[in-house]
Amino acid sequence: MMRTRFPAALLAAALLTGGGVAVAEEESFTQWWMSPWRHKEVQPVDNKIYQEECGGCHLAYQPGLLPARSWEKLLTETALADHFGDDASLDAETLKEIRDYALANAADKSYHKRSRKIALATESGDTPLRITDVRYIKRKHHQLPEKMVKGNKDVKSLSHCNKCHTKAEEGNYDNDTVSIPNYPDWKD
Amino acid sequence: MKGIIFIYAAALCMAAFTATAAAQEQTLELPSLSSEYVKDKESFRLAANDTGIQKGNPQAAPTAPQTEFESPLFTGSKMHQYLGIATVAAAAGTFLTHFHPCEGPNCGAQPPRKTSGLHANMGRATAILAVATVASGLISHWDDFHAEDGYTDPDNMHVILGVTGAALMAYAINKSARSSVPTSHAAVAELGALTMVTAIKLTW
Repeated sequence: MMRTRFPAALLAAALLTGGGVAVAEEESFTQWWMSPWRHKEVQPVDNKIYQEECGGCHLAYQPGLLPARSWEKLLTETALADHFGDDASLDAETLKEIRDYALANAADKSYHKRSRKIALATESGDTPLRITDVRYIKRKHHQLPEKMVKGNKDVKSLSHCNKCHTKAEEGNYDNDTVSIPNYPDWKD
Repeated sequence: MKGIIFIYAAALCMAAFTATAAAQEQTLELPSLSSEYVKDKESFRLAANDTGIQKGNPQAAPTAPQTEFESPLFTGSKMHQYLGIATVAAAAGTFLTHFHPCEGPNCGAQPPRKTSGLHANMGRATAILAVATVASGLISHWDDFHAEDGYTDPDNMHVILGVTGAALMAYAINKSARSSVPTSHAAVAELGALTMVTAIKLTW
């Protein structure tokens, strides 16, 4: 019995490890399932053009923070001409690259846990155009008093994720990485 | 045997650490109808909170220099994670220490049943760690479970599978411990361990 179980355990470990190495840019369910790497948060931005163009003005929000239908509405020529009050127009080629990347990595296409929760929270109802309008994001921040966000001169808006989420650029929004400026003792 | 005692002690210490860390982080808020109403109200306020940036607000927060952030080593969430990994490791150890030189009708007389061998003690340690993991998860991730999100929500599935896995392993160990003769309990225990591994994978 022992002779068959030990190799079986070794084989399982090898499959688990090997699966992670085999992960391609676009993950399938099998690749995610076999991968030993963590998928707890949001897929970090790994597209240079997306990072440069979006990150030039604000935090390059990871595509996994909104569902595909939100990115479809946000990333059009007309929508970018009035991007929350600013003109963020892009040339056609750049826009296509950014749009394709966002759609391929949107919350409902991702196997990352936080993106899956966002996708579930936005399955029904309106299409959120702001990340702060996502039900899941609202619920995670419901305990925050106004003075810590809007009234906090070092935060000012919930849309400034990286002011409190110290690892936001890496796609990590875990509670353990939160530090609210001017409120160092705050804990969720 | 000393190793097993060490595992017991470590599980108890980690569970105590979890409770302490969670107590420091937050007070346990059990949901009630009134608190749900307040939460909704706060969500609306939150949405309104983001429509504009206040300027020169007399209620603005006092300024204090922001020091370099260091993630704490011991938090309720991290303790739950460590306990979960320890449970799976202990389950694997229990699996590997299960040894029968011969099984089946042609093996003749079986050796006397061991109730305090390495396998038995590893099994007990696994059950204790599993219970500590479930308890620490309930304490430190209470606000991550929302029934209205349905069973496909990763956190909801995690808690369902985690509790089921722990219960199956505890049942298998209890079944074997109460029997005076060797009894088949491996399948239930292995199913419990696999259920727990699946629970971990869903939120890993």
